[in-house]
Amino acid sequence: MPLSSPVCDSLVVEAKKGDAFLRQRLVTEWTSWLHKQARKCSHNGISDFDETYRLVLSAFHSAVDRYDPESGIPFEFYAAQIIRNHLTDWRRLHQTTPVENNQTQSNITLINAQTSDDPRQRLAYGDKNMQDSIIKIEYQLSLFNTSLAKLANHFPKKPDDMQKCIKLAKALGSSETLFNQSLLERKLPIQSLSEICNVPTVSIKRHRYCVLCLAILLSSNLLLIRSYVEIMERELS
Amino acid sequence: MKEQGIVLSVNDHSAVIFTKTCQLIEIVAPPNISVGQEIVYSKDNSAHFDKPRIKTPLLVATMALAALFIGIFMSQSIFNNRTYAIISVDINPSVQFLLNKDLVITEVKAMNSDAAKLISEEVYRGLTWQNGVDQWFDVLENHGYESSERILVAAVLPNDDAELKYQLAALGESGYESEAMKAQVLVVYSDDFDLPEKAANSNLSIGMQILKNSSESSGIEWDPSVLKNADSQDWLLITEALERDYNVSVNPSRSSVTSNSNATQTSPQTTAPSNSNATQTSPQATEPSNSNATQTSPQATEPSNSNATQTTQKEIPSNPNATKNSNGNKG
Repeated sequence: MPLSSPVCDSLVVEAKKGDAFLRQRLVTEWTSWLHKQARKCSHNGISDFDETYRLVLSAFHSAVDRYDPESGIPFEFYAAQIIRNHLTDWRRLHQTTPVENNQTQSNITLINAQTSDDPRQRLAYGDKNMQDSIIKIEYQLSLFNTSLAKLANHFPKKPDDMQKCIKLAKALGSSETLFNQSLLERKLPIQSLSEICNVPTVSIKRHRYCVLCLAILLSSNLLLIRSYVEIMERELS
Repeated sequence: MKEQGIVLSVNDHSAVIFTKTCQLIEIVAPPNISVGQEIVYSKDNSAHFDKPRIKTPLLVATMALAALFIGIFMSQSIFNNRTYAIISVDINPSVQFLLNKDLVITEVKAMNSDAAKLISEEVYRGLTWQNGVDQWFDVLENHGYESSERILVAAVLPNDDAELKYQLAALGESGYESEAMKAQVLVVYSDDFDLPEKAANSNLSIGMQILKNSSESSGIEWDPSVLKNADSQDWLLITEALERDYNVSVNPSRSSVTSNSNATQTSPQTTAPSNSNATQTSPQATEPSNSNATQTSPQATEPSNSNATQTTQKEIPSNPNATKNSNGNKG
């Protein structure tokens, strides 16, 4: 059975309900894929392949337990993200990454964060609902062959350009038809947006990834982002 | 200058932040941030990742000069960088990866014209060997080689690198399986560093050279297409011939994997090395029957030779360099 086919996704749903036999079958069918994930990650701070495989397997079970087919995300993508995040958290918890330094720490203040020595505070993906929201955002971006990391530092800096991007993103995000059409066709409806917002197609093309990313973020359930965009829009106007 | 933002993504080295000024930026990841959290950070943190913006001709000239010096320095470093290990992957398109001590690919060689056509599309340099091999399998799969049932992965490596031997053994045990392709991977390795030279003289990959050597010593008729045209019986003979002279890892239970569409069981179990210097380990995962029970247990079959050294996973002498690089991930 092809991984991440609708049949496979329904198998995940059945396994999630508690059928131990189906869960075992699922793990068996995905063994090679899991090995591949472990191989990809075993060089990255965890030298022990068995340890990595154990973590990958644990994350896979977590993915089965949390997977929601209604989200529209294929299980394979969802599981890969959960595994990646799980390993990131494991490394942060066990301090195997070389990024911890006092200078970095002193330059960053956590708002509303409690200060304690609880190692669980090192978990980047401790909030599971937030993790699912981010996975959805990453999945929608992946339809356009991009990701948050790839788009970082590539948003327009000029206020005029940013104002246009916000306007276009809001137009795209507020129209369910246009937004779903974009995801389905994996293409920004440049012509329609140009007509709705009265912005030249050239400008839209130039900043299409920014518009797309903003629209996806605005349509997510990250309310803080919406407030940031509203404030920015007011300031720019 | 301080700025406020919400954390969207965190990985080992960096975090992606959506700022209050509607910018998506990457900063050095501090140890205690989590996704969805609002933070105030210094703009200095993002400087490391900012794309340089060229503003003046002077700056351009300075950067060009710096680039020239860095280029000279790096080329010197590359020339001085000795090849630590070599891995070849043979189907019919054959490629060979040269690795440095960090087990990162420093050079890729297409060993025939078919491979040359495909290899130009991908950038392998800088990837870890596992990611390079995985990427090569993906390329083969996407270019009409998905029906390939058998792949030969050969390596020449220092005898004391148990970590790499273990990783190779794991590849042999797990084989390669994706949506479109299921293949048995026969892993063979040696510490004979004269082998690459012999292979280069014969215009062969190290895998094909090993195959040729074994064929000569075992009397099997050899020609360069032997691997491509081998049926399961030939494959068995090839494996047996290789086992006489080299360390071999392959999962025998996968030999008929493509003939049975429902075949799902893969059981990693390392084939015992027949070479006296072999040090081998094998992963064997115990699959849990419920979500909470996740366990793996290392298991290695006993080497057939009395001089062979057997280690469990935890006893493998660690190669600190083997895990240094993490730039193999795409995106």
